[in-house]
Amino acid sequence: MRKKGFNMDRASFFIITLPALLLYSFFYIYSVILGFYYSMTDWDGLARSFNFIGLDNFKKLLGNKAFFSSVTITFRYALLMVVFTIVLGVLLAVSLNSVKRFKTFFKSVFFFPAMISSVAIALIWDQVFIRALPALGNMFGVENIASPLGNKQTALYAVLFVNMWQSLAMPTVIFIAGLQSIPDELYESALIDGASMFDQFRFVTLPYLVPTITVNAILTLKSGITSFDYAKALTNGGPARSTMLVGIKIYIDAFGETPKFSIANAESVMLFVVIAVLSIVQISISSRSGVNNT
Amino acid sequence: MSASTNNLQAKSPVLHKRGETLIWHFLRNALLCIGIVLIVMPMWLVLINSFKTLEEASQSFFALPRSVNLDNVHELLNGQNYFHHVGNSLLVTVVSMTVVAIFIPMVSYAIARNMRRRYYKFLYTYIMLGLFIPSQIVLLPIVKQMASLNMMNIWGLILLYITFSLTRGVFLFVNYIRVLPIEIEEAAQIDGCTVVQTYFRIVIHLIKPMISTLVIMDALWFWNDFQLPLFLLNRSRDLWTLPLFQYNFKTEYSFDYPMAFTAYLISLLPMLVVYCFCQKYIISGLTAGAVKS
Amino acid sequence: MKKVFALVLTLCLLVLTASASSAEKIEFFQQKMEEAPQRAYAEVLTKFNEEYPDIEIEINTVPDAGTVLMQRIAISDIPPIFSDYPTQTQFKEKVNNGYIECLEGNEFLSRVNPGMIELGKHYDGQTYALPLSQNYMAIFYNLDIFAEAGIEELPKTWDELIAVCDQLVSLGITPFSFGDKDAGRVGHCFQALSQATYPGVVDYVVSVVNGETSIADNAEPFRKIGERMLKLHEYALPDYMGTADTVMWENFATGKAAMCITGSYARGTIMISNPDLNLGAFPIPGDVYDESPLLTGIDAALCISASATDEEKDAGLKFFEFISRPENAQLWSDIDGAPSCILGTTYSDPRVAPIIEKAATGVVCDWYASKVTTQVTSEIYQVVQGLLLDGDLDAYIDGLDEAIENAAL
Repeated sequence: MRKKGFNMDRASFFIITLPALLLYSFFYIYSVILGFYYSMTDWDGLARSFNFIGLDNFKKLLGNKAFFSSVTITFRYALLMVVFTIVLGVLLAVSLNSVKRFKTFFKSVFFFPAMISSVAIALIWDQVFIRALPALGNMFGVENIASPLGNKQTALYAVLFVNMWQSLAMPTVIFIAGLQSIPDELYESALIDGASMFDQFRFVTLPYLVPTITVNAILTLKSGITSFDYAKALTNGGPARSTMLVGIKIYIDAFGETPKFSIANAESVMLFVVIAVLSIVQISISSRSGVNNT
Repeated sequence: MSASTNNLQAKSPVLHKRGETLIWHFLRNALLCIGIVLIVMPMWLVLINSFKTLEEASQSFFALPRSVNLDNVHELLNGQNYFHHVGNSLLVTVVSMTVVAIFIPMVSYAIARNMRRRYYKFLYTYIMLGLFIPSQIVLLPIVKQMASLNMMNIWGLILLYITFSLTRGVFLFVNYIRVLPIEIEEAAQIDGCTVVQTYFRIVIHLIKPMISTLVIMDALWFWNDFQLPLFLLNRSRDLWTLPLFQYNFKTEYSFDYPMAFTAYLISLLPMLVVYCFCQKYIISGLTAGAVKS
Repeated sequence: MKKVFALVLTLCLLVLTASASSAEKIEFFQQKMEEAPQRAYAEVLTKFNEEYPDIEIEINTVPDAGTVLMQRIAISDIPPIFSDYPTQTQFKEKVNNGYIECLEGNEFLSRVNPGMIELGKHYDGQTYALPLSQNYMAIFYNLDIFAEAGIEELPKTWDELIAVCDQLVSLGITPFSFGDKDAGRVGHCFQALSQATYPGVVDYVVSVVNGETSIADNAEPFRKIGERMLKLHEYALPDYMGTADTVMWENFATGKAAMCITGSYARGTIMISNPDLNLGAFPIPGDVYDESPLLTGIDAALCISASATDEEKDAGLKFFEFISRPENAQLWSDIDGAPSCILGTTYSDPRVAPIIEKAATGVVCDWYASKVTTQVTSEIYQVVQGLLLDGDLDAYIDGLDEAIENAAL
């Protein structure tokens, strides 16, 4: 009886996983393999036939200045995003956690942006930059406040700001969760030792947040490196390439007016390598700090 | 001193030196206020300008509307098939969501409890591959495949959402289930429960917090996604989901921006309503999963 | 177990229902998102349905139409009827790959202005798209403001244009509204100005693309064009770099500036935003009026997919025949705001006469994209946008060479 049940269980386990395996292989892995394959061809996306050209696309890309400037911009964007997310996220989490009155209200307002689609946010901020900033300037008697999206120096920061406006909510929630896992006794004993508030933050709160910080940092870094929707809707890579993130470049190369589909795929493969390396780093870090992590 | 976590942290600053506490409170409140202004301001502008005529808006962008003018709303609701698009979005989100919520925990349970076996170990690694792959590389091949299967429609989109949500879902659940004590399940099995019975009677209750996390995260994604619908549902306007409808106003009402604002507002409306009623549940639901992962 | 079966069953059902649904309507994929052309097509189609009640053509306009069309061709899911730009190299590429039905031998082609047919021909001398409307780049101006400022003679040369600008400035009027947020719009202005200044400039770019020479080798023309771009922007409303095209048109339509350099594609949209606007247009001047060509090309053209079914092709041809009848073409052109390519139509607005006169002289030129790939043009646009941002002419000259090199990727 028991043995029969056991076999039955094994069968049920297997059957449960089967649709997942099939769907995933058929609709995902197959496409990924095709994508990798296209990166080694000269298919522009239009032609009915194409050739296998090995690693030529990668060689071309490595010698291409436009691609390199995109990579530089992307890394700057992603790193800034990580720094701001960590600093603002921790600050916000600590603040929200210590507020006494209207706590729910504050939390729900700060979490609200996570509910809206990136497209809607980009469209709304685009309008705010164009319409509200000059109007605001007029109100305070400052003439000619220019949209930050129209300036090479500020466009990337403006895009980053809009991106952060939405994406800060999730890391903050994770930080709050991290804060709540800190045992109270530690604060009490710190207090008895006469620690100042900053010391308390520095020696009690921060060390306990380290695992959460690493998780958030890596997640943010990844989303920063692959980011493209905000810049696509706000600036489309301009002005003068100053916001041409790799994500947008891939999109334009793949689906733009003159498609170079295989090149776009080679760019994605390079992105894949970067993300894979980052993820391996993440896994090794989080397994090391796993002691604190649950 | 057996105060709860929240309470104590809320109280502790009071015990510090007065000056220090004051500065901290000042900084904290300033930060929160700036944050609130930044978050509420664009929404507020969208709201007040939706009720204005173009003329009124260009005269005073920040002022309250002179009267609550619902002409814009009327025009959009009557002329633009708004409810049809809401219906499409609802269909996509609810169907994908239901399948994902039932399906992913079960798959993850099977994997988590059989990690020693080669097949499941392989399956887990295989599904985790998705974590490394940037979405851009899949986009064209997948659309090509969907077209050849004649699935360039809402059902095709749903199928893709189910597939694409596997990676993150399985990752979250497997790690969550693995640390659950196995003893209860073993006891149930000794009592004669099959795996399926054990799952529905016991396991499902243990993983409820994680299910709510998954449901919220994925529902937000399905509801707000723009790229996949754009590529899959571009054959006819009838198929559009809400984000496509919304994006359309970028050019169609490029001049009449109060009208565009109205369009953004009514596109946000369903989400706003849900959020108003369930925000507490949404935030705590997300936190439940977040703590563990 | 039951649940599992139910799940598998649901999935099967999903797949089944998905493959079962198919559309009866014939899709017409229309690339222009602006309100005016959308309305124009809709009106003509309503009339078409009265005559052919059994053919149901459905207009489909999506955001990011160019991208979506490329994607659909890449996956061999080509709309049966669509609009495209036959003078562009990307269109010729589509024809070369056999995606587009040849229209040769159809009676309705004889209704089209022969010059436009010539312009839209493929390398093989055949016609693959029905040219519907012409576009041109022009300086649109506000007649009321010009009258108020006492400007009676429209400027015909660069120096006269600058004199007009100075006169406007002295009266406290801002001469130009620019919208340079989108590199594409900067590029259109640049194309028009560069060809008006140096009529043969595209051929020079072609030789640079072919690697025969470089921009830096003969920097003088491009330097002068760059200087003129910058000069015009000295007369512009502030924050032109942050201004989107629609806001530029809006600023012009509401009288914040006297002139606006843009394409005929904007005319209908400008008129919708301010129907009372007294709008005129004149060619972008070069040094000598008689030598500076008017930038003009085919704006909207209709074509049929080679892989459409016979029924769809037939419906498409009937629609083309219908829309190319002079009365329907007139209706279309009146709403869209661009001059029609169909003989027997009139572009009645006397305020645009300077453009029509110029076009009649035959001193015209085509867009860059008819001779170089859109990749090259869009790379150039980025550099010109950079020039407007920092005003650095040397960096711009170097940038142009680099951009053309990048485009060769």
